[in-house]
Amino acid sequence: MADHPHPRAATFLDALESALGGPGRRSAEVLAEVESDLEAAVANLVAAGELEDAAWTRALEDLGDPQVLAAAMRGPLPPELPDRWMLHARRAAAILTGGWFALIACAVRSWDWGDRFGTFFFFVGLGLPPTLLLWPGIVWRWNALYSTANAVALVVLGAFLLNAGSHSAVTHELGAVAVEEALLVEGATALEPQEPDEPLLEREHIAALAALAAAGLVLSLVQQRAQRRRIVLGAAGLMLLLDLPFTIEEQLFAREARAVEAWAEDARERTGSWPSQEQFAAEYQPLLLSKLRYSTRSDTWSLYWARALQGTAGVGYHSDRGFWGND
Amino acid sequence: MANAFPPELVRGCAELVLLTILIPRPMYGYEILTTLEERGNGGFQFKQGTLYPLLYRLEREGWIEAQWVEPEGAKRRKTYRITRDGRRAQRAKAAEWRRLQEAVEALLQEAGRG
Repeated sequence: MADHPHPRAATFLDALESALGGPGRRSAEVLAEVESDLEAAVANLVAAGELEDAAWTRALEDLGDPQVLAAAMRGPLPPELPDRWMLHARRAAAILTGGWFALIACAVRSWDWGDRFGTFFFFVGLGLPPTLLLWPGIVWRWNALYSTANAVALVVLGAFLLNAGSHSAVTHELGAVAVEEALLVEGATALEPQEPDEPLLEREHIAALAALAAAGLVLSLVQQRAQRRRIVLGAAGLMLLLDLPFTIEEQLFAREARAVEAWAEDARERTGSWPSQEQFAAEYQPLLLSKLRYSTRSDTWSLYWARALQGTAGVGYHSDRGFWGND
Repeated sequence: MANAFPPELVRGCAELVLLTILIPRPMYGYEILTTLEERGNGGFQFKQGTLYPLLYRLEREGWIEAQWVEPEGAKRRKTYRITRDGRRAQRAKAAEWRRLQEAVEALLQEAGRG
């Protein structure tokens, strides 16, 4: 019940409150604003010479029917923020969710040599939508047509781009056990990138990821402009931060591989064959990286290095097939 | 009022008018109405009932921001100020309005000559 000295104003405010869905923080704020402006309007009319009762009548008439006013307000009213503890809980949950998916994106980034495509789809597809949905108080720009058209366009485009001319997302895969075996068994052969038995990501997985990525992009697009800018810049900055250490690792490994290549070529010119593992261990002075694994067979050699940031994955160089990543 | 603009004309430029009026300083709801009435020479006949949904829509777009202020000796009021994005939107809407105005003016002149 509105606590207002003027009975007609109290009746109007009560009706407006119930039309807005009953007592609550959001309706309380609307009522406080309407009441304050109503009193300013009455004061102005009275100052202009109108009688107080007539001034109230006119000011209330200007506001119109409370039901109609509430219906017009309900659409554009910003969403109500939850209580303080819920606000913090949801922010924490959003940060943890985003962080968890950032870790998954890191793992995905380490699987392949120089591949940022998968990271983007895992991060934007799996991470962004739940993070945005959990974050409290995000004001959506309510335009269903705009959102739907974008969503459909992005899903179709994403699915098309991901499926065009590709049969697998992971082209080279060699398990850690295979790496160990190849290096420990006597007469070890050079490590070579191999086709996986089964592709890690099937088309339907990729299409689902693309659809989720589209959902993430759409959720960003329906934000207020300033909010969208923060989300896009934040996500791009985080992607860059996630990617940078892996790119640096790959650059260091590439320089090391070139140095090993020069050393092996030199040894081959002298002896007529690629140097052995024992020669590598005894003679090669690493430039930048330690724990390099060198292996050879009669006509090829390879270099392997377990990533420092993601020990279960690694990068390799094969004298015939170039650089590759190992999941 | 006799010199009030037709409501459909005002509806078409309501967002531009509100954004423009908030450029010099923040204002509260009723102050916006009285200022519009003064500046528009009685032409803008916004009622409070139509003002709030418009203000909330602009707030939702991120073009204006609301803040409760309590001036000394006066009652607590919800004031609105234009944001940076709001200024950008105002410029875009003003440019559109001028284009429309020029096109209509050109049509009128042509009709006047004919």
